[in-house]
Amino acid sequence: MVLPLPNICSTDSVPDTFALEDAPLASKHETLSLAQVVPEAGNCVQCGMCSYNCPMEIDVRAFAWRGKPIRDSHCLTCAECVNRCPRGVLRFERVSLLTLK
Amino acid sequence: MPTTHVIIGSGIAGLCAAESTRQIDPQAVIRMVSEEPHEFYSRPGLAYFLRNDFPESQLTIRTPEDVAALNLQRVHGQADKLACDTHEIVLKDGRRVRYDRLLLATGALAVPPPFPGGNLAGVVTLDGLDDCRKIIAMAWSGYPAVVVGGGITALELAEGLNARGMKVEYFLRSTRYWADVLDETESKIVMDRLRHEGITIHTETQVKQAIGSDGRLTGVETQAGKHFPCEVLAVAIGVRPRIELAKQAGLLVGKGIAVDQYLQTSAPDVFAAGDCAEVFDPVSGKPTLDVLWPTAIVQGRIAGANMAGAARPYVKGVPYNVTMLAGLKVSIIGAVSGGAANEDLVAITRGESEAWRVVPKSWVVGADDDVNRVRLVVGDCTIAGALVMGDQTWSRPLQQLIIGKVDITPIRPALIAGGAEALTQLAKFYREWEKRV
Ligand SMILES: Cc1cc2nc3c(=O)[nH]c(=O)nc-3n(C[C@H](O)[C@H](O)[C@H](O)COP(=O)(O)OP(=O)(O)OC[C@H]3O[C@@H](n4cnc5c(N)ncnc54)[C@H](O)[C@@H]3O)c2cc1C
Ligand code: SF4
Ligand code: SF4
Repeated sequence: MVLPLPNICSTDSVPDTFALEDAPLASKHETLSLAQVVPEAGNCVQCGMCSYNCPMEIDVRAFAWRGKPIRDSHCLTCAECVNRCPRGVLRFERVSLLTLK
Repeated sequence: MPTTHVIIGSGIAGLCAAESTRQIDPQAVIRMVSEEPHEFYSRPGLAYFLRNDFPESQLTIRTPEDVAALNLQRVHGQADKLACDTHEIVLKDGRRVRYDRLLLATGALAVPPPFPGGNLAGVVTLDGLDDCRKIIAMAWSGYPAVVVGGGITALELAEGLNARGMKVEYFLRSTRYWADVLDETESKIVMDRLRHEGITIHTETQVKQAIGSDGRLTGVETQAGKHFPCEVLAVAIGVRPRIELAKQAGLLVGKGIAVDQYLQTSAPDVFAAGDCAEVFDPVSGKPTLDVLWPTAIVQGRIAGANMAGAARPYVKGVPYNVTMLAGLKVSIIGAVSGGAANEDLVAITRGESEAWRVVPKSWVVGADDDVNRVRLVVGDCTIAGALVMGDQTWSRPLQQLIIGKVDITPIRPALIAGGAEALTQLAKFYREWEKRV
């Protein structure tokens, strides 16, 4: 199965909450590592604030229900859903391209 | 013959039960009886609909395809009687519904206003979508409203009415907000922010009566004899599990419907889950109520599976909730008691667990500025509870340490000493623990 890759053009679009500074500089894999939104399903109250505010109309709430990372090729990693969630359910997590098999 | 499962209640516990039954038994007949005719919706989401953060349609939590795939028969009506001997429920309009397995997922209802005038039009409580619609229709911008009560729902009402432009007067019986869960500083932070949003708080103020003319609310009179004109009086002084059906049928009940570890009631083939159920808590040795969304999900799933023949025990976890109080994120994990009784509530509130109120002594380990705080309740060798306010960096690590009952003996003295050093030690400890697991 080929999973769509999150759409990050530059590291500028990676939000602060995603601690890039921790990464030792520029091994080949790490240059290719990306961020994705990951839910903590147990805290989600399915309020829908995330989906409502997603500029790409991704149904973030449905991912949160299933506890699945938001793997949608349209995700801009803009952090709108992460910041709007009133329950702190969503966060960014680094994904290495190598794990996206 | 397929088994007939009847679920009373279309809240999240009922829905999760139906989904879990369906997964195990594709042939089962599943009938869901509910007085709410709506699509499945998020009850906690009502607070944001009330606040006008999004339209009503956003509350729906299942697509039509998901619902169709469940193959449910929905029955709109109120269950009035449960006849265990004939395995039937009788609806208010006389219809009868037979069951092989029954789930009571009837939730909880707001405690009605205890003062005279509580039945006037304009006096409201918030339990479901119909209430929310009604409140929104009454919330005229520029007009005064009074909110009474403690806990999360009272705040959501105050903030919602405020966001809709009403002039909100918030009455607290005691001197501070949610005193049994928040400590003094935390209460003060929340109260200051509410004032900043434009809400007027009146401490040590109680309603004596609601006043009206022609059956419609015009104002309230306080115990001290002051008069406040208002169009809306919103009351959130706690909730009570809906146990009438069970009680009338002779099932074992306490504050909620008593269930064993398989979520089975004292009657054969009858289960209960969610806000209405009272589960034995091995930690306190007492039956406890959790009026929490995540608990309702877990219990619903387990009850649904067990009704379809599984034998899954429910293990009461550490209760936690992440919520917004006056625009601040707050995580409440395990036992956190604020150290005082809460005079604003006559019953447990929504989004709350009784288990939070038990431990008296706690230490503030990080309070770096006005709003960001971490308070720990430190037990003999574990962290028993925590309240994380503002910056939520610590919420997840603490959830893991508390839920995992991790032995913190090596850093206990540092934690109790408090201050910034305690957090540094805790961070170091957490990182090492995380590596090990
Ligand atoms: C405004 C608001 C905010 C909340 N915020 C939070 C929060 O932040 N965090 C949190 O953890 N929890 C929160 N909660 C609580 C959470 O929503 C509940 O814990 C959860 O919804 C319980 O689900 P349930 O299925 O057990 O009951 P409910 O969702 O109450 O469902 C019960 C259903 O049964 C129906 N019913 C009852 N009796 C009968 C009968 N005799 N016949 C037919 N139908 C019947 C009711 O009409 C209802 O549809 C909030 C609740 C409200 C109202
Ligand atoms: S905003 Fe947060 S709590 Fe609400 S549905 Fe999305 S992930 Fe869940
Ligand atoms: S990060 Fe932005 S684009 Fe991606 S799901 Fe969240 S809100 Fe939508």
